[in-house]
Amino acid sequence: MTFSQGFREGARDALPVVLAVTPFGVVVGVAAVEVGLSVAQAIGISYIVYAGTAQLAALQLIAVGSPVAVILVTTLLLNLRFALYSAAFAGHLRAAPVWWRAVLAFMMTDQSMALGSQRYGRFPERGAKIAYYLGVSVPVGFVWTTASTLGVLLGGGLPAGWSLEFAVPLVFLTLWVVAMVRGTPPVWVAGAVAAAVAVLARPLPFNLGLLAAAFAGIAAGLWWETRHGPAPRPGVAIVADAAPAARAATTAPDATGGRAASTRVGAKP
Amino acid sequence: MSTAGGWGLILAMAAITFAMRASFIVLQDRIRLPALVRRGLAYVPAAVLAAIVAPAFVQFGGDADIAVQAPRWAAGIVGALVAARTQHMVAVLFAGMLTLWGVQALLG
Repeated sequence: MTFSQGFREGARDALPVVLAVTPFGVVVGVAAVEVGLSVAQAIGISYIVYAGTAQLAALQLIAVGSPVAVILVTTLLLNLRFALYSAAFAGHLRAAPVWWRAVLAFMMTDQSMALGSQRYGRFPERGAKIAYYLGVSVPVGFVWTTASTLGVLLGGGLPAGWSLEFAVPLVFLTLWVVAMVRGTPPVWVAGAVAAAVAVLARPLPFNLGLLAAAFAGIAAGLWWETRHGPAPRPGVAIVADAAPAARAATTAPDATGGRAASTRVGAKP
Repeated sequence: MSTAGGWGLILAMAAITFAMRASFIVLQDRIRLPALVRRGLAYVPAAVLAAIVAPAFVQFGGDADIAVQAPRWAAGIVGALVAARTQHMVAVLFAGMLTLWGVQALLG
């Protein structure tokens, strides 16, 4: 697979994600102005921090007068998941030189993680993985920053009654359902436990519920795997192939393999 | 918040976020992951996605207003069914948003 083929495949997979990210970007842009950031800051934050969920949380905290320390700890907690993605992707992206890896890391999103985790089983070449990663990340980044800038310039001009920001949870819902449908029993346990804990732990301050749920789910999946033996196939082929011990899991047939038609999520996010 | 304070906060948030993203991708083998953590990575997508998704659709507690919640539940159920059946994101977006708007209109 050539670089441009990989890039195009990623860009095609990113298309519906881009549609969904647009209203979210606009919402974050509008919120940044409303909370009192200058226009330059409100636009700049989406380019520099580039993490919508954490930005939205920070803006809410600024609005209620939270101390800076609380805002930064919340940012750290909400973005800890990027360290998990980073570990999962390290092996896939290791062919690139270090400065280039820093650029790739900067462009990481939930979407590049979710799409890559479903596609990488079919890409043996590391160059193609990098091309695909860029194919997803560049359009998502471009549309997100543009939409957010638009939100800043629009101010409050968005029709609130349309609930367009609801597109974001629908995107994540799709990704989750697909991960579950294609998963193995320990993956189902991990997903179900995380969902239950997330709902119950939602009242926890500073979005701690999200992390509690994620770790509870991962622990439950490991517990199930330990009790009932390893899964016959990896549910989602996101396992880092950096370490030799993980290689068996990475090279096992990807659950998404063959059945993904081009417009499907599996072919996709 | 002052202009300088605003930029300071934004830069600090950016530094934290980039450190998370870059950690393993940039440092690679210089960080060794314990075997347990490596096995656990297989469950990251299902668990993290669930943690993001579930509270957006299902909320309990004093601030949970049924007129706000019902359309979200309906959209979540329809969206999940369409997702499981088609695995097609655009289909889920259409079905979910139409359900949300439909139930919102019904509850008027």
